[in-house]
Amino acid sequence: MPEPLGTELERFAQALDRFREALGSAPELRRALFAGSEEWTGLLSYKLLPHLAGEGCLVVAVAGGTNTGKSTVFNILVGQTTSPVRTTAAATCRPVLAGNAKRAQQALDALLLPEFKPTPLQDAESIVRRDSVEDTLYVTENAALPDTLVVLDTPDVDSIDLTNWTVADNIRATGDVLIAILTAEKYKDERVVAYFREAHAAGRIVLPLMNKADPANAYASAVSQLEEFRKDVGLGDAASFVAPHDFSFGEDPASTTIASATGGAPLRAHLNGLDVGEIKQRVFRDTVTHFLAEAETFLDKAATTQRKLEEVAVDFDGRIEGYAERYDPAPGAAVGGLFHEFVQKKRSGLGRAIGTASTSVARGVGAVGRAARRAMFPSPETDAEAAAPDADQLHSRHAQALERHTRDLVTSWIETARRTEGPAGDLLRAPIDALDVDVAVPKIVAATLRAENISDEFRAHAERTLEEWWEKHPGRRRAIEALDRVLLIMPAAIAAPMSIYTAGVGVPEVMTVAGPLVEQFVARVVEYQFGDAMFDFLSPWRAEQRAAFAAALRTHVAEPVLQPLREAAAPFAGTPLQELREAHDACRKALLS
Amino acid sequence: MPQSLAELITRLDHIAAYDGPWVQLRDALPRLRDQIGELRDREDALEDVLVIALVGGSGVGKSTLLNALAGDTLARASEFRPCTTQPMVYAPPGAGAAFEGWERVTGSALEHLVIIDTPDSDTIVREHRARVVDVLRQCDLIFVCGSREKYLDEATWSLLRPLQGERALVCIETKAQGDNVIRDHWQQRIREQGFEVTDYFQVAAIKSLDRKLAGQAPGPEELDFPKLEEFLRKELSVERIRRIKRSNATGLLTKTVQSLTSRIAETMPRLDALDKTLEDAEGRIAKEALAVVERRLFTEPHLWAFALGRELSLRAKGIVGTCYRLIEAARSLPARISGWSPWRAVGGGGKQAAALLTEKDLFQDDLNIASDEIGHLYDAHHSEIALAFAKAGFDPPEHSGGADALRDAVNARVAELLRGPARDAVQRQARRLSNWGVALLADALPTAFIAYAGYNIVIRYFREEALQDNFLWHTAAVLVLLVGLELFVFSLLARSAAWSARRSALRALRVALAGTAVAFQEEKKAISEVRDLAQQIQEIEAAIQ
Repeated sequence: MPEPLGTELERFAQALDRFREALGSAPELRRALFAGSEEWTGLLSYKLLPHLAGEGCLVVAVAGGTNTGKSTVFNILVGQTTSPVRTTAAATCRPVLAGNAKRAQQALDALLLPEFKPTPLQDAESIVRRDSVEDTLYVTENAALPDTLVVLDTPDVDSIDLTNWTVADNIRATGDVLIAILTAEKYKDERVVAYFREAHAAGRIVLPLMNKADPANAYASAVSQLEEFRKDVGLGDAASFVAPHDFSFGEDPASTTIASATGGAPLRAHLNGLDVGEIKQRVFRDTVTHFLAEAETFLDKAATTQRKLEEVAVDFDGRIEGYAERYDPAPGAAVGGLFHEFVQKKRSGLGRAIGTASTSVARGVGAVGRAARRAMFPSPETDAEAAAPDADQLHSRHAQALERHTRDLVTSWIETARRTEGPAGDLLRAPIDALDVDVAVPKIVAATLRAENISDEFRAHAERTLEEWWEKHPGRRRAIEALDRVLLIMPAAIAAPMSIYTAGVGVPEVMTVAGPLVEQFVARVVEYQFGDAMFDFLSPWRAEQRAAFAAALRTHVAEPVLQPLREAAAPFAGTPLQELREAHDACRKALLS
Repeated sequence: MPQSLAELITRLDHIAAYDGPWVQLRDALPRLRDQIGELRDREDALEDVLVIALVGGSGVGKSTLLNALAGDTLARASEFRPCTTQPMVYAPPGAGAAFEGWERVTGSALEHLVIIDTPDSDTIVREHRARVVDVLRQCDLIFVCGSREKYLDEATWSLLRPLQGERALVCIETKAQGDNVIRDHWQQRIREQGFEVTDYFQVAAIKSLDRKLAGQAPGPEELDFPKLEEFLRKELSVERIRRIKRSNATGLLTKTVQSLTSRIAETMPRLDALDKTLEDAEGRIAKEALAVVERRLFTEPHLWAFALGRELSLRAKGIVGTCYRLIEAARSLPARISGWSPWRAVGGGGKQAAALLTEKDLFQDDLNIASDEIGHLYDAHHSEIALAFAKAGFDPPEHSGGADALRDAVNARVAELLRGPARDAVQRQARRLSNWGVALLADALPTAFIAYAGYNIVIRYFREEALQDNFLWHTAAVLVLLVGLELFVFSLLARSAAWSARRSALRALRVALAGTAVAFQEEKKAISEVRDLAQQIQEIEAAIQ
């Protein structure tokens, strides 16, 4: 074996084990991902890695459907009755290895097929006992076999004993040469043909043998059946063999020969005449090529799975923003007045006094006006709507809205998870079922509404925004200050000449009330129309509230729901898969060099 | 079976027509419909001939067996695989017309049987497998053919597994050699797989065919072949055929119902939780809706005074009553004028309610009392209900539909209340105030005063005394004062009557909104529908057993 390739294959196998282990948190995902990979992982662990002491020795495996006579042929090959022959189906359930003294010892020392537990064959009946340990390999010594051959008898691949299938697949992965035992009834069976086609594609040498054939016309029908089989499997004109339909056939294995159907040497001679070195090399190279191609398909599949998992996670996470957007936080207090208060605070001495006076006059007039309106047009509806909510009401209103949006988010998740197929759906459904929204909601509310009094909190926030604006825009600030002064002085400026002109009859009194009202009116108009647009002290607060809500949703709802999915996806994005990819590339390079 | 098959199928049909929000059941429906279709076919065919399918791996000798049974080379048999490509139907004359598209031989002497030879189930020609599945669907009895090499093949048994319990099985060991090795092993392994086999025959069909073609009597080398022929001819009596078919149909029915019950078992515990959530939310909504309507409608004192005044103005009697009517007519003049104008605006809740309290046909269709607030009420509870529904495996109810339904329900109840008990209460109060007793009592004082004034005039006439100069003025003033006082008292009475009418109407409103379900009608209907279906499925299951 070329040295660098062996090391790289070893590395690949280790990376694969690590990847498999990393997927331990999601057994279903692992099962789905590794489904269909039995063949090439089997090749890796049973054929490519254990290629240790088997140099110069061909492993010949006798394979075929149930009751086709595998054990009979095996006995003929080793020259004595070793594996029990049964008329019932699915008899052989554990593999048997036969070799000469040296090879048998190597097998017993676990040097030939290290993945199996070698056991010396004491009692032939144990081969057909269905309760023995699954990875047992029975080893028997046979002096008649040359040093270049070991022969394996294997369980069938088509009976209803599905456990036999895995054992058979694994043991056959170790073979260099497969003798395909066929009969007239089975040479066209799908499972049989598919199996040998796969083995041929993976670089193994397949030798078909038509058992129980009709000897009439020099096996004419068997020869054409073999031809069909070679065409189905894609063997070209490989050497083929026939054995007659005869119950006494093989009763004396030592003296029975299996004739060629293609005019060549009989089976034993053919096997002995194979060029071991050349075949070993060719089989190894073809097997590695096949293995690498299969492994690449697997890596593609892993990439697709990763993409799918990430898509789902991104979709679920992305909805949080959408539902947080639906939260429309209301500060609960008149927004327009804020700017007015702020400007009033910035006034100095006399200005502040005039401002305070005009505000209290406006307030008084407003109260009187409202009372009059209520007296004249009693309407419970308008009263109920106009009443501003108190702090507790506002808090509970916000809490309700948050609860509602959280529930809606979880509902949409449940709906989607139900429709999501494959392992991603399984990974989502269990944590969503386990999620208790009623427990999560108080935490989300507490995290989003950081203060008990939302209005105050909003005011503090708006104050900061305004303060910042005040600092940042000195030009505009000055313009506003000038405008404010004009507004402040204007009523007095109008009132003074008027009262002088009218000799003080009535006008000063009217002006005392009307002046502040005018000032307040103009100020309000300016604020309500332009205040929010100019300073925008509502939307930063809103954005902050929404961000807090989204963050709380992430922590208390998304985290528990997406945790398993993310954990399962982690090995795909992290080192294990990366290592596997690198090892795969390294293997390919080593093979080419 | 206590109930006939047809009856059970009809009940299943009812379940298959489900179109509600229960996703789990809806997902199962396409399969259920298929199964019902098949059941119906089977039920129709209960009296038909028995259809036997010969099934087995390639090369076990299915065609040879058919040839041997027919005593003629009907089907081609050869050593090259696969040999039979199309199912061959071997039927008595006049039968088997149902199997169109397949090769048909009508010459069977077995009047009540149709035998179908199938292609193999295991070769690389995949379409063959599909054809076998097709035949298996239509047959009643399966002859599983197996030879020494192929009797435990996964390829064949994987086809039979989905039909477990739905078809009677008979095993036929072809190419038998007279020993019981295969027989014992085969029967044991089949039982391990959970199948039930009614009969077992060992045949060597090629020998039987040769013998039949040569026209000889059966010999011992044919093993069970004569028994098999006997079985086909005699044992498969009409009665037995019916029994087989019925048991096949029952097997399918049992499977169908079992798959439904397993789905129900998953949902039932969730339904209870859902019910509880709905009940809680409904109680809260009813309370809140009551508060809204009370706040919006019943705090309007004008409404009740207006309604009672109108009733009184139709009924009041006597002097004081007539005066009251005149005043009421003048007071309601603005409302009347606006009512006459062609482009009068549709009023808010209060005006509509007043209309309902008084006249019958006004605003009947689009009553709109506190709709927006009730919409908000629904909003507040919708997310909770939707989550509960989604968790229970239902489609969550639609938002807009639910809010509309709630609004309509509340408005309808309020309208009904205003038109019914509330109006009755107002009319009762009006009648009480306008009966003759009250009228006489109220008129007694002015009448007495008028009589006293008249008596004074008459006495003075006879005594030839002159009346005081301002006698008439004084008398008129006192009369006006008296009537005014009485009118004032009468108005106070009317006000308090309106108040008590409002109170009794409020009591009725509480009953109307809290007493019976107002919210989540659709949702509750969906749940009760599911419970109903579950009940039905359980009944069907009980009926089968």
